[in-house]
Amino acid sequence: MRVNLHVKDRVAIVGAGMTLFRRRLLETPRELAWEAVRQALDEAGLTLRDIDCIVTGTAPDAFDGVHFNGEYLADGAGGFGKPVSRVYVGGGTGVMVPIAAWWHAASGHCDTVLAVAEEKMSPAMPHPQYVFAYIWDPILERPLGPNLIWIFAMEMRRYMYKCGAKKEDIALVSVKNKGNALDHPAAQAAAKITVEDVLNSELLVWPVNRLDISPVSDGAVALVIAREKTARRITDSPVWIEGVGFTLDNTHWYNRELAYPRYVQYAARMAYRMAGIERPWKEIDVAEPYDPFDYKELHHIEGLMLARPCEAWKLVKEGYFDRDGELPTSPSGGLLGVGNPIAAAGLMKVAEIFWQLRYEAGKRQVRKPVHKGVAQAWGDLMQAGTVIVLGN
Amino acid sequence: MSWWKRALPGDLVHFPGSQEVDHYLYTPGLHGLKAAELLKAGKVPGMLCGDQLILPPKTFCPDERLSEGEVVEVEGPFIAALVTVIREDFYGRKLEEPQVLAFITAQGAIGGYIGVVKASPGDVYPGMRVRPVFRPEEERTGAITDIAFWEPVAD
Repeated sequence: MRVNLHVKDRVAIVGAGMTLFRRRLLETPRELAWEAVRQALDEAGLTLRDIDCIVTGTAPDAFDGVHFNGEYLADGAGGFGKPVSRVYVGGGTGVMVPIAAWWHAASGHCDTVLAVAEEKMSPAMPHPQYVFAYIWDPILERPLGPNLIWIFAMEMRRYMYKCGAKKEDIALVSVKNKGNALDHPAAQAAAKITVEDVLNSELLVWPVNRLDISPVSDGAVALVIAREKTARRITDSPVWIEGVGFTLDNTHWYNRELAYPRYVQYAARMAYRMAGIERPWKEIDVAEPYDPFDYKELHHIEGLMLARPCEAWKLVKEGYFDRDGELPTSPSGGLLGVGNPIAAAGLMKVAEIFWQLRYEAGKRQVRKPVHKGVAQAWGDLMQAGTVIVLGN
Repeated sequence: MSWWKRALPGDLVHFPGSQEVDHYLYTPGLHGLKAAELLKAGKVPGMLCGDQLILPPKTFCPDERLSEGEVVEVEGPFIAALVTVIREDFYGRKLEEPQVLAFITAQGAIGGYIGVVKASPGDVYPGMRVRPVFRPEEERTGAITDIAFWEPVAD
């Protein structure tokens, strides 16, 4: 049953654009935003004159190395002389950007909104991973020198232990997503690989190997979002934003059951309720769960209630989540295959569902008919869940 | 709330931090390369959006299509549109010589550059004409700092 939300208007996505995702691009952050925005506007057949408001999103300023990065790249995103805002929930930002754009439009405040996410990780030296050294509590955690891979190694181990999954079962996600990305023209890490390739890749922190992880990337993505009346004037095939959800779990990762992402489930319930979806495993046709690590896709599939807890890894083995399977996940190639410019990666997932629901995904188009799709991202101190449900 | 005065290195209750990202390498951007070439050649870069000159160059124009601009040499005349005088450094230490800082634009242009004007504070005023003085060719790197300073031009 749909929740009785007091929104002024339905809201749709009417155009999308993205840059290449690469380890180091020549473009500045504002030029990346500019390229994505120009594509999205062209796809919608609009110019900046037609845009009322801008919502931008980037993850920590420390990646790009420009404080107030949202403001810095705003003019590339068309953000001058108009209402502009920036949202930030770490890795969850990419899906929070269209959620914020949705409320800009659904409130009736803005008729058309550009949703722009950008990330340029390459400037940070010696390696952007060091930026993550500053997400920890400065008194109780940072002196111990944790890094993200340590924590995710423990979480992956917990999932394996609780769910009975083996390394080779989880590696299938990397094989699937990197293979899917071969058909994505913007992909950075597309490859035809085998489970053995994943298992034999460099062991970083057991049980995490090099090919279990998405790459460091630069890139940007933009969407054009419009209220119903305008959306119908712009296109015959608007893709409706039917549900949005977002949640923060508790700050300390060690106070959670690491085998199950409650932060995703809560956000998903909120979005499904708004979209009137009661049985997501039956009603969702295509999904883009956040996959910075291969086990995280399994985690998030379960959090999105597209599989029962601890059962996603079994379904991956059966091909259930393949592009021609029962419920295709990450048909784009995901972060593992297309790349992971943090905020832009999440918005890339929303753009992919948009293209899938318009039957414009080309070689990536899933085989089954599609009516509803879900995209999700995850971030902050690993406790943010952001979910968006789209329908055609 | 409480007032905590002790934050001296060596205190028992003290939590030092350090920045592990020790430096950044910024890319020049699509049109930054051409701007760098101009600077290295002792020329001031700008951008043409149609007939409108815009400083500094940054690839896209502020128009409704965000169209692509063309990086060009700006010959001037240059004008110090806004002027101020720096008397202390970041640490509050008095400068031996006050430094004149200006926002410098070109005639008919939108935007401009920040630059040091080599002149005594009493001699500068908004609207005065200036010209760039570049570092010697062998010292130039293609950066904005290739302009060593700006100097007044006699009317």
